[in-house]
Amino acid sequence: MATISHFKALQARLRSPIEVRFLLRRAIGGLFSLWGAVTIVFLMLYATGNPAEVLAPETATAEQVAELARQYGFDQPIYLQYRNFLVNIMQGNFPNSLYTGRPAFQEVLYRVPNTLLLGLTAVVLGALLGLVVGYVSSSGRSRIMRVVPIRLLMILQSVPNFFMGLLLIYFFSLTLRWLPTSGFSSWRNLILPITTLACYVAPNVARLFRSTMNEIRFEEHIQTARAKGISERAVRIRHNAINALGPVTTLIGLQLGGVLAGAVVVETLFAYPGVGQLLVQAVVSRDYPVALAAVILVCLGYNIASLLVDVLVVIIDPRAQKR
Amino acid sequence: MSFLDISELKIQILSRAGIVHPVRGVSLQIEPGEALGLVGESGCGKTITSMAIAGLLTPSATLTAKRFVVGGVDMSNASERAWRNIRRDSVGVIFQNPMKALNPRMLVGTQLAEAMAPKDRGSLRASHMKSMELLDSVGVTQPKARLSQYPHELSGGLAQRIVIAMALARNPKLLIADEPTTALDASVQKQILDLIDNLRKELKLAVLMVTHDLGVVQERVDRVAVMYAGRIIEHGATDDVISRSSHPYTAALVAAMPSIDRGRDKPLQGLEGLPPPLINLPGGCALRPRCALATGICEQIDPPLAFVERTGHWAACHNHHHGRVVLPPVIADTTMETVAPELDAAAIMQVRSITKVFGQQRLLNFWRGPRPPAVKDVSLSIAPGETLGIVGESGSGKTTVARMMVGLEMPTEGEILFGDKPLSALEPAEIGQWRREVQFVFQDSSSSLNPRFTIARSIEESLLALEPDAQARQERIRKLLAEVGLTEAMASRKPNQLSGGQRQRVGIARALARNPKLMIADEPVSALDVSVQATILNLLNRLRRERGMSYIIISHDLGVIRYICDRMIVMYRGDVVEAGSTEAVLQNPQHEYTRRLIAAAPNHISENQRSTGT
Amino acid sequence: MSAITTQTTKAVRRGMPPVGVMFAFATLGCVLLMTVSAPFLGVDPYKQDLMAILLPPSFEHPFGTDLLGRDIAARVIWGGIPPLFVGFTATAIAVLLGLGFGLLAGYRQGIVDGFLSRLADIQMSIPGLVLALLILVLFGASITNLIIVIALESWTMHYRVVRSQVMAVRNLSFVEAARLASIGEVWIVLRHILPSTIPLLAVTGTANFSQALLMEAALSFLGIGVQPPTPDWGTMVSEGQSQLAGGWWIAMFPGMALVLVMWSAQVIGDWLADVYSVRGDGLQ
Ligand code: SF4
Repeated sequence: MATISHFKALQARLRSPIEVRFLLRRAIGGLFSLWGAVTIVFLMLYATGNPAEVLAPETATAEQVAELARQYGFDQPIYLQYRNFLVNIMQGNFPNSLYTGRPAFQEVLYRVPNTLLLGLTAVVLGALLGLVVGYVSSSGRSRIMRVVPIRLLMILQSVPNFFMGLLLIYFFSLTLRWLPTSGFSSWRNLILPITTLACYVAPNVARLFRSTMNEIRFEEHIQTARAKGISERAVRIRHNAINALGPVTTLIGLQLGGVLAGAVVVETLFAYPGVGQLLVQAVVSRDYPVALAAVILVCLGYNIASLLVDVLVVIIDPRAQKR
Repeated sequence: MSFLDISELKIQILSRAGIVHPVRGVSLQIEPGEALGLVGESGCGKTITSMAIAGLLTPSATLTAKRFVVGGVDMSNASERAWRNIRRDSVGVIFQNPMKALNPRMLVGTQLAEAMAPKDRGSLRASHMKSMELLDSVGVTQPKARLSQYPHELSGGLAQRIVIAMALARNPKLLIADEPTTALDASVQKQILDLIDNLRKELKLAVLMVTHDLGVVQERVDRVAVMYAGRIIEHGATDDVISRSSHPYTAALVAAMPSIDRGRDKPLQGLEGLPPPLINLPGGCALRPRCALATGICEQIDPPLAFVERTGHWAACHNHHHGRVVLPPVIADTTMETVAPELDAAAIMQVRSITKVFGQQRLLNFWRGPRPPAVKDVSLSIAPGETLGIVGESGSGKTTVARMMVGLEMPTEGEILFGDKPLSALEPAEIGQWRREVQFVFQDSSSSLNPRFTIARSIEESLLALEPDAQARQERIRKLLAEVGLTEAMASRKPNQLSGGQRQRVGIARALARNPKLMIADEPVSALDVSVQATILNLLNRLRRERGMSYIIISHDLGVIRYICDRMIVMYRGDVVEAGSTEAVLQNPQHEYTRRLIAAAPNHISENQRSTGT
Repeated sequence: MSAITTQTTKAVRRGMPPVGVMFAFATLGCVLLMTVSAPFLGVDPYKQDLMAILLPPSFEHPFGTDLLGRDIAARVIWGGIPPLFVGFTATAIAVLLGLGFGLLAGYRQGIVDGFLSRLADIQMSIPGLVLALLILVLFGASITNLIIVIALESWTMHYRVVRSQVMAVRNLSFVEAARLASIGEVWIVLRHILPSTIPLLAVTGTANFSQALLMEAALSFLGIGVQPPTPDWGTMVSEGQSQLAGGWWIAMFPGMALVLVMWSAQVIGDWLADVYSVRGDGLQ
């Protein structure tokens, strides 16, 4: 196995797989999408009528609304409003929260680390679980190994994550009393939410990893590798499994939206103080400034994450940057 | 002692439909420094035999052999580990498609290092030295730069050299080359074959060359074994086997090959039908349904491989005691009386200095600069009754020219004339006439017919605009099928139930449906086995004679062009580099590239060898 | 050899679907039937019986009762109406949108394709649930808005699949042959291109259905979808969450109903993908 790291070293020394042109193109595309997303949010806000009225507290007097409109430029012509909207977003300048009275942007930013902790851990653990199950189901020695784990995992796929979380709470918190049901006071609070979210990621990863590995197994370069006389295990891992990581990573990228949706639900269910829970609270209590800030920030994070995933795909399979 | 000594090799594969027998008793020996050719059409078991020798069978396959000795080691009951040692130390394998044979995710250098012995890849420095040495020995230019490239950045020829370098990394004694040049262009093919030849001589390698192309084998190997339906049916010194074939199958293969020194006056001998499926094979000779010489005994007894006194090599046919096989004279329709081209008549179509540049400028591509044109300033014309061949390798622009002539692409510059009017100036009625009189036959592939449509429906589509009456259309379809040599039963089949040759016949029928004056065929036979190729070429010749059509034939194969065309054009990287009568161009090529192409054409089966045969 | 494998796969394909798939069809059929016939079964999801609150499952109340003494069984039967209605309608709209735009972009290419594809990119750069939350809070939570939101979120999936299929098919030789045979462009699309997208849409449509179902349930669970007291599986799970300790059955049965439907949809989708040898994950 020492040889693998040796090959990696050689590969790294020789050349970076990412081309500047790809990075540039991908970054421009990402910025464009982000701009589009922000514009859609703006248009929707505008479509409701007077954005100032939406953003002001319900109890606000007409003067207060007018004051807010002036402050954020909602009394100006639409193109200027649009410009102001973009400028304000870039400066992180949102109205104060209608409830806490603190700046909405800070309110959201404050919770970002919690969500990152939850989301990243869940994606990584879920992907790992999926990869292991997928590998076993494709290359396991016995039929039982190949069939049973993946079947079990696939059942999880049809359990909506809020119900999954509820079941976990029922068994581990209420019945067995091993873990806390909600809040965020210690690492033990993280176990159930992460498990719930990981259960969303793992099944698809496992299935795609299995099917991609099975496809690649019949590609000609696998025979070339065998013909070199290297061990079957090395062929499996270095040429079959690692080559199958590309599509799997792409899939994880496509699932990020689902992970986010899952995070929103799970955070709410477990009363976990993350961005998702804040967003839902804000939406339910009509705290529009906070909701707006959260939506924009989530879009930003989401786009950054999918950019990172795309770069990762290219590192795994350099052909992916060719169009 | 032979390096490789196999006797009675049998392979069975368990499939859902039953037990398949792709190899049914094959015996081979190869000495060090010797090259053996294993020849046959697709599906005859040659590739799986070669893979068995490298121990690369799928787990579902089981192998039995009376004797299976590789490099002095008995492998008949060897473990997977023993096989791995053999592959590592004594056998190198070259695969058919070099672009697919390399791991797309890994750098060339990494893959090379992986194939080396531990002492060679012990350190970065050592592996680098060894890589350079290997690449040098297979004639790779700029070896240092290649090491840090990915396979998709290489050309096919280069990739094949790297695959060969990998095969040589541990100094093997046996090199198995499975169709090493099929996926490559003609001029590159020769280089790769030369390379293998030189390596064999220098390193005293035993070489097993697997190929469907008798021409490849003829100049390069000492002995040849011809396979059919999982058995060797003829075996002997290469020249012997080719010039004095003792088995009808080999004789048909030889007679089916169009080659650059075979004119139209020497008809091709096709072999109708398909190799049998190797499942529940009935007794008797496997060739029987396709054999012109079959007699009653062929149905009962499968002939063993026996020594034929009169030709001095081995053959498996009940007729072998006659010595060299004499095939019955070719069916009447291939006896040629060439239609004299009406060169004075006004041209059907003319192409006037057209240029084609692909790809519209995209917003984010501006820094890549202008693309090179696919076709540069090409002119040609085709008169009634004339046949024109366009030859060139992939990427030469030959197909693009043809596609522009039927309006599938638009020229960037220049104009194309139908009759005497440019295409852009045609009236609607004239467009209809152009669409009727100029037809296109696509290269056969699974995509030339809609997989959802029956054959009848595919042909009918071509008639929809011409024949309003459904009854009459069906009548026409019946006639067309008969004309291209298909039975009426084919009408209701779907494309995937047809063989490649049959699909190509349907494609021709579809073009004929509109009674064209000019038929443009893009690589009409390149996807087909030699024996089937011959039947299609004969069909094309017959149709031309019967209908007096003009042809433009696009092909990479000089033999095909020679066999059908009066005039030819040679294209190279978008330019016409040579034009003239076929005879003149082939006898006396002017351009450097044409000369290379002719030299690279693998099949110089000399005229006297063949004429004694027919 | 390859000829034989094709034959066997075809034999497998033509035959009856495997037992699991039949079972999934049966399950989905039963749930649909129950839901459609809810108004005619004579069960009342709103009837409160304060004498019978938080009763565990019994003969009289097979799924138990909730805090207001409403019969969970009746509510589960009625509660399928919003998710299934939203799921089917949103999927139908999304498929039609994706198909129409996909055909247009794939066949016309150029500017049309550029515009639609950028639109899809933007659409995909907003996480679905977040967009849904925003729209529902700005424009109010109603069944119509739910459908619009979910359809908007999922059309890109079909669009991408159809577009790349059309791009792959439009230059195949048999389509070019049709063009050379003077067949009109509209006819080419109808005869040659549209039929080849149907298997893909069957697969993405099924995937879309379970996603739409999940989305509706999640929104309702979060309290932004179907509003109480209207019976709805997602809302009921949410109501049951607070009673989890004292009455597990309140959340369990609507949850299980969701699981059953999603499971059937998934099994059917996998089977379709297998039959048509299409990848159901949208990766081409
Ligand atoms: S044995 Fe009979 S059928 Fe077979 S090749 Fe010879 S003549 Fe033909």
